[in-house]
Amino acid sequence: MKKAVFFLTAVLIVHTMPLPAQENPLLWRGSIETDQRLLLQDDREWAWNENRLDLSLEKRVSPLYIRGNVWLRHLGPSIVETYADLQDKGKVSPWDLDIRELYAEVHGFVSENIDLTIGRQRIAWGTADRFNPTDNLNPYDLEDILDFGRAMGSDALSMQWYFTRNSSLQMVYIPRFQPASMPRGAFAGVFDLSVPVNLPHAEMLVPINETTLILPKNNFNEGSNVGFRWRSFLLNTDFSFSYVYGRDPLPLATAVDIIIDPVTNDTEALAVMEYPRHHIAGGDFSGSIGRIGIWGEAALFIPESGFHTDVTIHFAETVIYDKVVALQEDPYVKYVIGADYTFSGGTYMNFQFIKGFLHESGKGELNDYVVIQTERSFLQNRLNIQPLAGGFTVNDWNNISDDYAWFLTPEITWQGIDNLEITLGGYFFDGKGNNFFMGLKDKNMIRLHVKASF
Amino acid sequence: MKTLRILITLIFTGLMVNTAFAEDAGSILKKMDAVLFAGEDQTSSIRMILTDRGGNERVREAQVWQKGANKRLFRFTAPAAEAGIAFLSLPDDVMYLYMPAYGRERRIASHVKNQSFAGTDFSYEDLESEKYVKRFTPELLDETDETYILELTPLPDMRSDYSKIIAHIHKKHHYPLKMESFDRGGQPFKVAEYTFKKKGDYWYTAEIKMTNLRRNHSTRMIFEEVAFDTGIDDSVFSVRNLTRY
Repeated sequence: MKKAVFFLTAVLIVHTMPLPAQENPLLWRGSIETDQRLLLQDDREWAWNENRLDLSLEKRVSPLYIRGNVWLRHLGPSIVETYADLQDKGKVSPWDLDIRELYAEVHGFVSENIDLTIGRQRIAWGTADRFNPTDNLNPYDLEDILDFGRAMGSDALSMQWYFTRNSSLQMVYIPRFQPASMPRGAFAGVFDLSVPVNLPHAEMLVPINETTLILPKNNFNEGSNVGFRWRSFLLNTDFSFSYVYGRDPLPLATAVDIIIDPVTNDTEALAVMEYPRHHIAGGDFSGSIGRIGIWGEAALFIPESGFHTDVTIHFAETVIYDKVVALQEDPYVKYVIGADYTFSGGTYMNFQFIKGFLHESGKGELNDYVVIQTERSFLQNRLNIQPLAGGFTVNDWNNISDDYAWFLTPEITWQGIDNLEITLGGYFFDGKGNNFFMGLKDKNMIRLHVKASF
Repeated sequence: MKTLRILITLIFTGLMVNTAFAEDAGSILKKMDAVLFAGEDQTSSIRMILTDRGGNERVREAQVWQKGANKRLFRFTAPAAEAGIAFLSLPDDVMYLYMPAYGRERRIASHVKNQSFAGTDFSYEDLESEKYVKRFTPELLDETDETYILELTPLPDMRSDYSKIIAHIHKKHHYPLKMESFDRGGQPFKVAEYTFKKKGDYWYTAEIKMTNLRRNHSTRMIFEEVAFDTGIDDSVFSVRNLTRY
């Protein structure tokens, strides 16, 4: 509520400021959207209910630009548990305010070739389509796990120096660490939080029931992230090199306390989780070969130190201590290569090979993903169809039949009326083994998304 | 011998006539380019009115900046769903698309050239900012009292979705009156009808009506608030500026 009051006050202040440049009024645009997804299994439960007001604001007071983007949302079903909860409208009808971005940008700071941006902002690095291994400054926004590539804004200071028209150097400082938001609702269990346990006569995977997060200290040394990116253009190709020193926004378990019931073998596990530091050296390019668009992006992750999980197992009267590697100290590389093409009939196709999904880290822990998207528009873009959209993943190419998954996300969008977009789609998953998309196997769903822009 | 002389004379005369036509066609096309790319730079607001076969209309609005013959920036201002989307065209088929929702620009390859630009009847190729003489070989087909009629065929290394364009060009002022485009199979595909007006020393496109003959759909692109030689800086045609919506 405090955030809402703060935001509305800020909007009012900006709107009523006696600024001299009346030719630069406060610009606002946005949309209202509803996103409803229904699970096809079990009891046909709703997997996602979201109603969103997406509002973007801009005020120019040259050379200053003030910009903001906020989401005001009603999200999910009622979360009342007691009669008393019915008196709390926030639980009866849950809503939240998400300040995605709110920053001031100075064009021509000190020199006309330098732009300075201060405030909550999205710093989107990389050239690949939604899967960007070099995009590591903003924490992931995994709340809706199927909205690949979504990230939260960070409170940051960013300075970009354009030393030629095609070349620039960007320097970013983020003073405070911000963890990633994790999947919610029907997607809450999609990331496997379990730890392998070696008992004298058995090996088992124990799911973690409770966690304690240890956030880095909120100071300069522990909490801040820095990044640099040099961009340029050569031989008809855009490219960049980047470096980030920061923390993984996803936590690793560093200690797990497990109690095993000797009679039922039921387990209870409490984990302590931390956010590892790493250096990331990245590079990307985008260009074309003939008429085919191509891009590539790679990031070398160098963990500052390896991580082990100290496992303590309480089994009957016995206490067993174990140590499991959570993150190897060795560097590892995540990368994406992709291409797109539009056939003469008008069908667009986009292909990407991804080594290492966003939640995967550590040498030898990265899996392979292939993502494909086809798209065709009809009736002067009034009707857009994505018949073949999805992909597959393979953990071990020597054992494909036992460890693979595929997913399909076809959709059809109608835009027959200006500013109104209606999408009907589906998400379908299947496979075998222990991989990310298997976590969604029982979550096949259909989706209705309606968006009205203003 | 006399017959041989006559034959040789005819052959040479024929060659000269052909050469003269070829030169004329090239010169006409150059003059048309000079009109189309008049001035050091040009800015305008454009309104695109899309009309389907049922007569239903939809409107798109954009700001356009152009410098020289090969730099152009389009930024949509309406409808709301498309406002902020920008398209930057630079020399050598370098194109970028910026969509505010994604927060970053996207390099786009030339495969999009045959695609409809924002649902209009113009393709990216139609809006390409490159002189016709650099893309087509002209041949003078015919002329009337008021027009030259040229056939434009793509240069061998030119990637075009048109097999040819028949250009009707005003004889006195050298602006295009009509362009009939044919698909790769040689079938009539689109017709663009031009209206030109004069501002200062320059003729400028006031309106283009593009009709897609297959779909029976048309788009009127109306240019307003046209200004020449305002001294647009090169930095306008940069990725830095593209992402500033």
